[in-house]
Amino acid sequence: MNRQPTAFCIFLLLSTLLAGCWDQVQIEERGFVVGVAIDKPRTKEAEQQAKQEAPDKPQVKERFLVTHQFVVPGGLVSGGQGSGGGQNTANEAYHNLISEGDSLFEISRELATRTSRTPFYQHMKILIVSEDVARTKNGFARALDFYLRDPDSRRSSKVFISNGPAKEVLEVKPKTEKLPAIYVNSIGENVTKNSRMLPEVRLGDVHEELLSPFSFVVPRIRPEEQEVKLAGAAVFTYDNQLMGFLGEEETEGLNFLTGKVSGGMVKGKFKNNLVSMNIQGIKHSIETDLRDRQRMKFTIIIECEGTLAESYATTDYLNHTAMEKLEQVFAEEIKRMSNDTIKKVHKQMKVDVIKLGSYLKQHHFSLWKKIRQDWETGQHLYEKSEITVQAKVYLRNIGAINRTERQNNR
Amino acid sequence: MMRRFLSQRRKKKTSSLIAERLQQRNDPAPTLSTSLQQNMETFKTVLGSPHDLLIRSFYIGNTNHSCAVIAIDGLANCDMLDMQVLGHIQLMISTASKVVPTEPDEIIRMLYEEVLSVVEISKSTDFTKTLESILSGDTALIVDGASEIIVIDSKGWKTRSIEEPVSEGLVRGPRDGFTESIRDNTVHIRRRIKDPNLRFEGSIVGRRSRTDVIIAYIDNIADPELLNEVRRRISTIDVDEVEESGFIEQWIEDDFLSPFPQIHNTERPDKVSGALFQGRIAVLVDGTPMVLILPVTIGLLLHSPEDYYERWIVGSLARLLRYLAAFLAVYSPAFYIALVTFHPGLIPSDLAFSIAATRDGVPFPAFVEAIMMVTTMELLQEAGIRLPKPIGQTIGIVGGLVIGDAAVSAGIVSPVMVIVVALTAIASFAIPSYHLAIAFRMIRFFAMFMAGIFGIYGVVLSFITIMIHLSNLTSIGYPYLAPLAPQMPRDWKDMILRAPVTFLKTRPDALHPKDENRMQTGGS
Repeated sequence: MNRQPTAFCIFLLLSTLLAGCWDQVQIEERGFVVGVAIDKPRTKEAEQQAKQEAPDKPQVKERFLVTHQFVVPGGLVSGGQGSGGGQNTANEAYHNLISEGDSLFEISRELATRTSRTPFYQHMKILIVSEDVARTKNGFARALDFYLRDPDSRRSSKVFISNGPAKEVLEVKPKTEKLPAIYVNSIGENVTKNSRMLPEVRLGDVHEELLSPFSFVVPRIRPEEQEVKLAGAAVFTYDNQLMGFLGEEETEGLNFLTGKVSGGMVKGKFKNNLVSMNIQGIKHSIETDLRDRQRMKFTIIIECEGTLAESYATTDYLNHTAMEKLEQVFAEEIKRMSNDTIKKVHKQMKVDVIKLGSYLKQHHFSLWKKIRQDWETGQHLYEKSEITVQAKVYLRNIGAINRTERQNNR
Repeated sequence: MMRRFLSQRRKKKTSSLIAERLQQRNDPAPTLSTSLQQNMETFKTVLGSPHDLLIRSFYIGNTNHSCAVIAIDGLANCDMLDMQVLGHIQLMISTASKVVPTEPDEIIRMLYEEVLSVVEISKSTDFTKTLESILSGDTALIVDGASEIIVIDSKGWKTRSIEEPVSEGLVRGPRDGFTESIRDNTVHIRRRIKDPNLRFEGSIVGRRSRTDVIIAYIDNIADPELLNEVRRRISTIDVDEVEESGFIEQWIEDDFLSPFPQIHNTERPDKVSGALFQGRIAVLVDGTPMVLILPVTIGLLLHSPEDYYERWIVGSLARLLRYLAAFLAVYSPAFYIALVTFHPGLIPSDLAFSIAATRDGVPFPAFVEAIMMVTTMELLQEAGIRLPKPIGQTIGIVGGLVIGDAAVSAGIVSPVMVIVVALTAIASFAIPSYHLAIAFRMIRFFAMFMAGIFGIYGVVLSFITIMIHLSNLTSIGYPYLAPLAPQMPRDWKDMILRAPVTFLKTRPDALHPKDENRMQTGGS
C-alpha cells in the first residue's frame, strides 16, 4: 500500500540529487569577460613552439591571438573598500589575458589553466576583430563562429573592426571609465550625438549579414594611447571579406543614405560664413524606376529636421526667405556628402552597403527573385544602376537667440 | 489518508455533558431534592466545596422559611445580589407587608413573579443545568421544600476595557477592538449592524471548558449552505478545552497540511461587520478577542479595511503595493540566490560586477548566506514577540547592529544580501494579516531551497507548485483563489483594484450570497 508514495519520494530525491547544481557557480567566482579582441599573431615563435610540443598535430594556417578582458570586481569598488581586495595592489579593475591558438574554443579553455576565474561570456560587451583577421578569406566568419555558437555568449555584444591591432583597444587607459571595454561600449552609444559613427552593429546583426548575400559595414575603431576613436566604417563584400574602410565623412554620407542618422551635425557656408545645424532626425525614402533592368534608377530622398546650432553669419533668421536659403545650404551639404559616398561605394568599391538590394527584396520581391543572382555578382546590375540623391532640410528653430552681434558691426 | 482519518474522528458525536462525567465516576446522577440542606450538600460534593463557592442561607422576610443562594464568588455580581435578591427577599417583603404563602412552591412563584426585580430569571428542576449556570456566573436560589430552583442571571465579572487592536493598526478607521468578553463582542457587532436579520447563534463547545461560541451572520445575506456547513463542523468539535478561537479554527479548517490559513481571524469589529455584509460568517469565541471570519478568499487576507475607508485611488494603489509586497516577501531571497549563483547574465552588467565585488571574500555560497540571514531575521522576529516591551527594543538595536553592520564588516555576508533580507522583512510586514505573513515566511524557505538547487527554473517551479496548491485549496468548501480561479469577472472590481464605491453594486459572487445587490438603485 505504501509502495507508490515511497517510489515517488525516491524519484523526487533522485531528480534533485542527481540533476541539481551543475551550473552553480558563485558570482564572485566567475571571470566576467567584458571584451574580446581577436588579432593575428605577429611572431612565428609561438607557432614553432607549438610544432615542437606536438609535431604530429595537423597544421592549420590560421592562428588567432585573442585578448580577453576580465573584470576584477574588487578594483571597481572605489577606495578599495571590501574584504579580500588586498591581492589587487594596482587597483586596476580589469585584467587582460592574451592567448594564442588556432581554435578560439581552445583559447577560451586554455585560459582555465591561467586564471582562477574561468571565462564567463554573458556580460561580453564588445568584440573587436582586427583588420588583418577580417581581410583574410573567411577570417571574419571564423573568428566569430565560436562566439555565435556558444550559448553562453550574447548576440547583443557590439562588434568593431579595428584599424590596427585589436588588443590595443582593450589596453587603452581611459580616464572616465575603469574598464576599457565599458568605455568603448559607451562610446558606441553616442550615435545620437554624432552621425560620423555607424549605429551599433551587434553580434547577432553581423551573423545575419554573414548569412545574407549583401555587402555590409561594421563600425571602425582606432586605438590610441589614452583613448579610442570610433568613427568610420569597415566595408565587407558579399562574400564576407573586408574590402576597405570608409572615412568619417563617407560614413556620415552612408548614414544619410541608409537613413540611420539619429543625431549629429551638418556644417555649411552661408554668405561666406560658417553655419551649423543640429540634426534631430531624418526621414528617408527611396523611389525607384525599374523599367530597364540594366539601368535601374534609384532616387534616395532625405528629409532632415534640425535646429540651427551655430551661426557666424549675422543674418536676421526670423526672416522667412533667409531661413529658406539656409535650409538650402544644409540640404546641399547633405547632398554633397551623400554623393561622395555614392561615388566611393558605388563606383569605386562596387559594394551595395546602401542596402538597395535589400530594399528591392522587401518592396519588389518578384523582381528580386529574378535578379537575385545578378545583383552584386553575375550581371552586376547594382553597378549598372543609377543612384541620385534629393535632400530637403527643415530648420525648426534658430536657437535661443537671433544674433550674437550687431549686423555688419555698425 | 490523513484527511480520511480525521473525518472519521470528527464523525464521533459529541454527547458529553457534566452528567456523563459524573456517570463515568459510577455515581448516580445527582438530582434535586426538596430539602434545602440536601441540595446544598449535593452542590458542595459535586463541586468539591471550592474556595470560591458562595453559599448564603437566610430566612424569607420575617418568616421561618429558610432559603439559600448559591453562586461563584467573583463570577456573580455581588452588588446586584445584595440589592436585588437578598435585599428584596429579606426587607421588601416585610416593608411592603406582603403575605408570604406557606406552600414552598407558592413561595417560589411569588418570588419569581413579584419580588425579584431581575430581568433574566428562570426556573429549573434539572441539577446539571443549574450547576452549569452557576459555573457561568448565575445564582441559584433554593427554597426549602420547593420542587423548583430559581436561577438568576447575575453574570458580572471583571473585563478588560475596550482598547485599540494591537495586531491590526490603521491610520483611518475605528479605534475599538474586541475584548475577551463574548458579550462585549456581540455588542460591538450589533452596534454596527442594526439590521433585524443579524443573527447570533449560540452553542457551547468544550467538554470541560464549556466555552460559549457564537455563530454570527446576516440571515438574508449569508449562503444557507455555508451556514449549515459551519454549524455541522462546529457541532463535530469534541475537545476538552477551547482556550482560543484557534482551537475552533483548527477543528473546522479544510486542509490542515496547508501552510495557508483557511479561516481569517481579526480583532477589528469593523472588519467583522464588513465581512458579514459581504455574506461571510463570523464565529465568536468567549475568552479571546480574536473573532473568526469564514470562508476566506485570498483577497480577504490581503485587503485591509482601510482600502475601503480611503478614496478608491489610494485603496487601489495600496492593494497593488500589497500584492507586490506579498511577492517580494516570498521570492526576493530566492531570486537573489538564483541570479547570483546560476544566472549572473541576467543581472545588468554594472550591478553584476558590484555584487561580485561585494561578495569577494564572503566564505559562504549565496544560498547558505541567504539561509543564514533569513533565519537570523526569523529569530529576531520571534524573540521580539516574546520579549517584554522594554527589553524588546534592545533586540531591535542588537539585531540591527549585528546583521546590518557587524556581519558585513566581518565579511560573513555581503551588503547586497543585507538589503535583500531587509527588503524581505519590510515586505512581509506590509501584509495586513499576520497569519498569512507566517505562511509566506514558510514558503520563502521552500522557494529558497528550490532556487538553491535549480536556479530560476526552481523559482518558477516553486511558484507553480504554490499556485496549484492555492487553486486546490478551499475554505469551508469555497475556492480560496476566487475570484481569480475560478474566474468570476464580476468580483474583479474588488480584488486587485478597489473600484469606486458607487461601482461596488454587488456582493462577492464567490460567497453565493442570498441577496446579491448592495444597492437598491444600482448606484449613480
